[in-house]
Amino acid sequence: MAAVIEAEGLTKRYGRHPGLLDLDLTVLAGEVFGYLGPNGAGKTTTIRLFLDLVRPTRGRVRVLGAEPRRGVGERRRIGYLPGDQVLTGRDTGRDLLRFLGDARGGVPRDRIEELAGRLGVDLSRSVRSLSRGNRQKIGLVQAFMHQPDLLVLDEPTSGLDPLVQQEFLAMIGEVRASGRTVFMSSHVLAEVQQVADRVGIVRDGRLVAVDQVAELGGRMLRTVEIRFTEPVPVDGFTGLPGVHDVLAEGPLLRCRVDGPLDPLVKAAARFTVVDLVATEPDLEQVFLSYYHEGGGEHGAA
Amino acid sequence: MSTVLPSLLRRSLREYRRLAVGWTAGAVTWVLVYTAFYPRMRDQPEAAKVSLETVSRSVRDALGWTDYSTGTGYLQATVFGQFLPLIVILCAVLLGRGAIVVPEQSGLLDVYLANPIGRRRLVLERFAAMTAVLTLVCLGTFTATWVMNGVLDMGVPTDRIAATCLAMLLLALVFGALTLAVSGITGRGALVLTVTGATVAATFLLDALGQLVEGMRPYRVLSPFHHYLGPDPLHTGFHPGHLLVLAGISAVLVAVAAQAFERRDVGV
Repeated sequence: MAAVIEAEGLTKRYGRHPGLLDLDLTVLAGEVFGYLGPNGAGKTTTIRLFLDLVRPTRGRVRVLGAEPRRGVGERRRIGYLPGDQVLTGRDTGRDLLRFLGDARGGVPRDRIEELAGRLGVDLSRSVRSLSRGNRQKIGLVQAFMHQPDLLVLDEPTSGLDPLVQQEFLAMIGEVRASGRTVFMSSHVLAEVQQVADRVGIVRDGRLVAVDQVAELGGRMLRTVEIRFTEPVPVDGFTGLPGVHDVLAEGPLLRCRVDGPLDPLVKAAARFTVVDLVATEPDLEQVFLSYYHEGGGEHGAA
Repeated sequence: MSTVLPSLLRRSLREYRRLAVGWTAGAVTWVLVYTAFYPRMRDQPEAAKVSLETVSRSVRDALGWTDYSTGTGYLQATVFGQFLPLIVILCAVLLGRGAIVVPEQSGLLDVYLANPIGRRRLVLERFAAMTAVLTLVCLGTFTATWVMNGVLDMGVPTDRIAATCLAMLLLALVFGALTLAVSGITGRGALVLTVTGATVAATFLLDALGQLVEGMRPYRVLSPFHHYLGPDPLHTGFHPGHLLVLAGISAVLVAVAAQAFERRDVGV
């Protein structure tokens, strides 16, 4: 599959403040890529580099096959939602959207109206009189309306109520179904978990991990509870590879497992197991495990 | 219209339409109010003289106040001498700010530039929109002056009024283009206003002092204000050389704006 975004050693410094450091990343066509990180981690800087709003201090990036600086024409194939509610002005939403549509070579008016109807925003009101959530909807309409090959969305669900969030996720699903690509940043993990094929986790300007959403769940943290017929010795379980925080209370054993369950299961098989419950972690825990210094380590016993 | 004009130019004209109407109305009102007092000055040349003589001769010369009792002198002193060009310049500077730094600070410029609109094209279309608005303001000034000139029998030839209005337009464009050039170099809105405002004040003073102080005279040509009223267009009509100097300065500044804006980070 073709690479839609390719970054190599992409770095942006603002004076001494590192905006983004040595980003190596490839996003393939048809993929939904979730870009996760706390505020200030470098998500917006990355996105603004893709759009040629800021220029790299060093390194390279190609978006839709072109360097952003030389790819002015390619921008009609990109749908961009800026991060912080920047749409403003006296004009109505309809006028603003028509201008943006014209700038991209024309967007059918029906399509604008349809998207606005779907998200539930009134296009006849001036943009600046709209609430935060409604302005975000206008932002989404302009990002989706020309059916771009690549959607670059900075915190797309911020300010949206849960019903509209679901509608937005459905729209992302449709984009993926049509083989187009989405790069979206977020600090809300639940939404990324629902739609993304892969996620990258960025912290202090560095991409610290990239993984398939499914793999992250498989590889990472699990909370396991095993009930035996009789009390078991803790010693038999501490020190197993990937097993941490072992706690035994009578016949009940609790622990956290990082990675495959096999060593724990093999060890447990020496006793009579009544019940075994493994709770799959949500991305939030996974994310936090990365985010805490020394990413991936969990206070091992 | 929608197929003829580029989308951003149309958008800019929409953004500026209130401002264009407001400033044109302001300029017209200014002309009407001041010229309305002309008959009193004409009919009481002594009073006019007294009020003029309260100001020292050299200052009068510096300000271009010659004679209140002739139509040309009156227009020079009240309409075209001072405040009106400064007001039109202020309009140009505001348009220049609105072109880049204001939407840059709100973040709206991100949305514009994420479209197939190049940075240079943005500067050029914003300058075109600015030119359109200022042309409207100066056209309003011309029309109001021309009408009052006829109604009050001020006796100023039409081509002289036109020459002065054109020079005022080109003068304002210089400072509008300067605002764009500074905005092209830096995205800091306060700095843009400071640099532009300081340049307006400094070049205005340079021209005025150049008339008062013998030693400063050679440096007057450096001031755009000199190329505006220096050749005395209200008395002598069009001076293509001076008009070309003003247009040339604008062209250079717009080129600087486009080149600099092409290179820098936006919204940092």
